[in-house]
Amino acid sequence: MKIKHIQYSICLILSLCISATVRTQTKLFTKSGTIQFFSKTKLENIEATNNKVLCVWIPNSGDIEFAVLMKGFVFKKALMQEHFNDEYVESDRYPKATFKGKMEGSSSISLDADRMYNVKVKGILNMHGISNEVSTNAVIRISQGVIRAEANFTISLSDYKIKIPSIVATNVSNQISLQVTIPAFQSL
Amino acid sequence: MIAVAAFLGFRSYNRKLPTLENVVPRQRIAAENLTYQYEHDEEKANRLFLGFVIQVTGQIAEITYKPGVSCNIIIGNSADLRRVSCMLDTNQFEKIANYAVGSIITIKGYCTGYLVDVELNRCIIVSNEN
Repeated sequence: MKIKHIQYSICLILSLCISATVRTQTKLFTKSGTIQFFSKTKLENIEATNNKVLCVWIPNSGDIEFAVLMKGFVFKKALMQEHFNDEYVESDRYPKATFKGKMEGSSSISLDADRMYNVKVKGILNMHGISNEVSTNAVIRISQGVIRAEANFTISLSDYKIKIPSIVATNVSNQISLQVTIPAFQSL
Repeated sequence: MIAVAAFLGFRSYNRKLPTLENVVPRQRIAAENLTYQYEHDEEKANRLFLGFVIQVTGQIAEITYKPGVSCNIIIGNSADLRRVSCMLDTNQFEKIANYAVGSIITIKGYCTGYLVDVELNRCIIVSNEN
């Protein structure tokens, strides 16, 4: 009887350890996140969309990372897309932008219950070869098993040494609004 | 003269992105070869493919189709971690009905680089005759 109890206890402890390990290692990801950016001036509004954003989030630790290919931003006007790649972000030289950071309060998010969470994400955004600290509010929405995330924030092109030629200075704003959307995280 | 120049300037400024139907691809390559090159030397592969229109042939591993919104095809071996991810141009959506997972497909697209997969966008499905 005592031996059976010991065997049962060992099995229970092992299963708890395995369970804890699995929870700790839960990684959520997407390859189809969206980033839209908006430049608004009196003369013109410019926007572009990238639908192939990579994001990995480890809820237990709060670690969150993004990667995006700069040539993946699609503009309505061909000339704007060419200028963006060739002159502004120099995407041949700097093909990717990345973000590595932490989501505050991530470990207290219950992924099983339908709910909305307001969180803060802080980290380092690397673009055009320059790294800067970025902080933004974000929303995590969990509904019927779908985990969705959204964030809006603004960056200054000059902070990333992205130069706007004087000839189009009145058409392109230095302040760019970014809208990040993860429609649905998947388990890795 | 000024009016002509202004008109041409206006047209150039408002020019839309062209489809890739009549664009000659820089290279024609098998999906496995493309991912191999990127896995082993991303910098060198970028010099060859990044920013260029390339034509890729391979087996369809996944189709993610949201009618009226987007259609993305993953080409490559289902067992491979790295494959070629092709975002179709909206005018190609109707053609996807002729394909299924496992079909061999040839796609022409603009290479935007390498994350988990090699990424192509503005893709068109190349007919078998091509």
